[in-house]
Amino acid sequence: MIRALTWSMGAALLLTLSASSARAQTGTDDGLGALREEVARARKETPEAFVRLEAVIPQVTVLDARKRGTLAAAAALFRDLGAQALWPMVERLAFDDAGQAPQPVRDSAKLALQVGMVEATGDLRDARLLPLWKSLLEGSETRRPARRAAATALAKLESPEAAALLIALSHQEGSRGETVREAMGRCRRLVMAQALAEALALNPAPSETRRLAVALGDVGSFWAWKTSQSKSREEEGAVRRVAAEALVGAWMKQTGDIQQAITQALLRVDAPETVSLIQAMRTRTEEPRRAALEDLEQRMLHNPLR
Amino acid sequence: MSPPPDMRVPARASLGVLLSLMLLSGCDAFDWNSDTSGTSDRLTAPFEPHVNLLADVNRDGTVNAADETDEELWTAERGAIFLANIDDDQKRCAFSMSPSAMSDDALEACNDAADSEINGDEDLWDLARLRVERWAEAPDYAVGTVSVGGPASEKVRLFKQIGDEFFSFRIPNLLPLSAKDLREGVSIALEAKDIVRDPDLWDGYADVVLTIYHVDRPTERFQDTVRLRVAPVVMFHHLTPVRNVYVSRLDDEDSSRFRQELGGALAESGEPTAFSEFAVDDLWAQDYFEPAYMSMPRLGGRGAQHVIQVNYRAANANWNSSRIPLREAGRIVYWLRGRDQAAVSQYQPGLSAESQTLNSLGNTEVIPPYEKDGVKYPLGRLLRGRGPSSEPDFQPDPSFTKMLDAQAVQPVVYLDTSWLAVAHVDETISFLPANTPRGWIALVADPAQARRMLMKALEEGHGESKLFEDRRWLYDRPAEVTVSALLDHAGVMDTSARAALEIDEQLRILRAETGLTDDEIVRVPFLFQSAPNGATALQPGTVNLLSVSRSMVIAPDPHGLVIDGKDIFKAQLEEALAPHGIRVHWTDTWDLYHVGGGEIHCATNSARDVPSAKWWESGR
Repeated sequence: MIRALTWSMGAALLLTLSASSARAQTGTDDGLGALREEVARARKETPEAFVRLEAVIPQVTVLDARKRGTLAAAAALFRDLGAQALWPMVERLAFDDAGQAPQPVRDSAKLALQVGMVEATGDLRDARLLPLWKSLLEGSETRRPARRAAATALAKLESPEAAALLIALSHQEGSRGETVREAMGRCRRLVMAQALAEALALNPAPSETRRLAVALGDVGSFWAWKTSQSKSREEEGAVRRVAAEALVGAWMKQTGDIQQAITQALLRVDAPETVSLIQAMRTRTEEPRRAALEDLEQRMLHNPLR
Repeated sequence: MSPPPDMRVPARASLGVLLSLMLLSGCDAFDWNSDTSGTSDRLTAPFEPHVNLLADVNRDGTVNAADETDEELWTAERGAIFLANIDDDQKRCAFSMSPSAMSDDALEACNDAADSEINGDEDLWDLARLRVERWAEAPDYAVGTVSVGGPASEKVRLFKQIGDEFFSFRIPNLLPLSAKDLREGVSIALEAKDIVRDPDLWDGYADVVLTIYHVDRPTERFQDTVRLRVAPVVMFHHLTPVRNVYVSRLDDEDSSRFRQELGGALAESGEPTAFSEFAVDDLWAQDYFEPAYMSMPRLGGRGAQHVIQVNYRAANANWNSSRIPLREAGRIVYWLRGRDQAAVSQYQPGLSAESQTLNSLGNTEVIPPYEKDGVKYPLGRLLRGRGPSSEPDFQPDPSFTKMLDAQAVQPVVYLDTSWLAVAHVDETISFLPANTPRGWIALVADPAQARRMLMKALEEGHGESKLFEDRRWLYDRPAEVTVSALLDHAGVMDTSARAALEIDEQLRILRAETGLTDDEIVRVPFLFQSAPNGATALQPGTVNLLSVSRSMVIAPDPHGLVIDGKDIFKAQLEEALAPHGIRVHWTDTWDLYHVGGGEIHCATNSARDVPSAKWWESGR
């Protein structure tokens, strides 16, 4: 209990600091000046990279025509252009306010192009791009997949600055904040797990509870933590524990598909403490919730991911 | 039949209404000139008509006295049936694939029920028959009508046989009958002008009423009522063999090779299967339409069914700027429309762009027939994907859902597919016929098993062995990846973990609804990757296959890990299906379909043998 309270206060403090930090970053310097210089330099040094990008873009139309769902996956097209494509893509993403760059005709292809470039650029996990993601997320972009991709790119930086900015942006109104919160779990850092846990503890609306539960599943995903791509391995135990504590607490307050989403997140995180957390909860719970907790415990013990 | 005494109490109706109906019918129901009976007789003679309307209530394909009992009711055991006559038996409806040449509305408006004619001999088979039994002693001052009232009145058309032909009259739901008609008896035919779409507007039942009355006392009516139900649209399950396989024909080498190979595999199956190719610019034949059928007892058919294939057009609203509101390739349903081939489109504009993928018909599959806890589903149940209830903007088109629900005979089971980028149920689950007590098995995607197989390979020293050798993503990007790199890919692992849990939940629902046991579930291992909007199969999703017959499926080549000369993913599926007598025909669809987010099931569609189980016996 004391430990939980300490975390809670710590996370609250971090949230406050993060928000002020984010506010500082949203001041007059939009941070894009340095990127503009990089783009200009790249135009001089590797003009062929800009030509290659433009040559690839019409292929998005083909992908769009062949897609099965709503949105074609175009990122791989741009990833394969290599590191030299970074600044040409940044130029399109950040400095084409007037919409002068050639675009596909169909709206779905335009969206696939935007999302594809954001994903490919985000995969480079280049810390210098933080102002770009900030600009996109604070800008006029309203298309959910495009905003979610930008927030995911920011999350993948997994830096304290990125985490702080994400937390600040997550407080935006409506779908602007929602798309950020959907992506927060991709920033596998303790501060993020704590922020998500705090938000979940506020007992938000069902759709928000579900969103936060999935994000906690993302941040604590034990299959992901087992790969060498995890940057902050020393935080793994704490991240998964914080996620599990928050999820077990929220599980008790929910029913139906929201409770199911929380169960899945718990299974995905699979923290070593989960079973004891459930057992502790069971001792202070009346039937029929008690029996439900027993079922949950059994599901944890027979986690299909193991 | 002669009405029982209590029914002989004449019903009251407005004289004005009856006269108006007759005038509007444009018909000489009462032949005034031939009325030779004396006025005094007319006024004093007893008027006791023989009022008997018959339909094929016992569903044996004939209309006779055996149909009398309970004709005003409709149950699983008895009740007459009619069809929505929305095919185009003489192929007279114009068609163009070009929206600028013909609008969607113009295409939808044409079918055999849209006019008041019988469109050839074939069309007559689509109409249910009724008979006004003769009243040999009917006096000249006896007249009558056959009519349909209530909500059904706007949905049906009645025809009367005159000589060798059937004619409808000015008011589609009303036929006038003269004394001569009553004396000789009349053959009636009935068609529905549409299927049931919204039970709040029409529940599919039509009460056909024979009314006879004295011409001088039109408010005293003698009536007999027969209840009919319009046939629901039933979707095909996989337990019957394919009879027509549909695929899009794209103008490229990959498409040509695939179609050639598919044709060869179908020939090899030994099933008499037609193979239809659509020249449309849309790969996903499973999604833009869906063959289904409606049926009624065949006239004189001794238990056989008369079937009209109904091709649903997917309710994929076009969220690109477009001249037409729906996915263009779906217009193919109007090209297919013809003899015993109907087209149905239903959609609601203004729904979210992201939810449109749920309206693809690869997201509406059929669980084969089963019985659980004493409840029978002889035609199976629909299986559809949707978002959680907390996501109201990510749900299938409610008007299409209402229409499917209204068919009633295949109650829907819903799974959450919102975590998938494409969000279709056919990405994770399919069904195959099997020689088990249930008669079928479920194939279920299993990313956790795929991971275990790869980890075992890693432990056995195959970490540097590659999957997807010589495969390329679009535009010549190499796809091959080592086992160790794949297992160390955080994105693939995390997406696969979530997929495993989501599929586990799908399976929990499927088990709860059907009672499936472990022995009836075949695990199909493949990993998932993250894509915009959700997860998608990283390895070709071999669960997404075409069931051709009881002994053969056509599945996408997984291009998996080859150890000792064998692809371990191919071997796993072959071994799992062999005990059920099912052979796998592998086809390479990597370039053509997999890179676009789908596999063989997504790329094909099929019409099948109509099951012997009749919908009218389903009790729904």
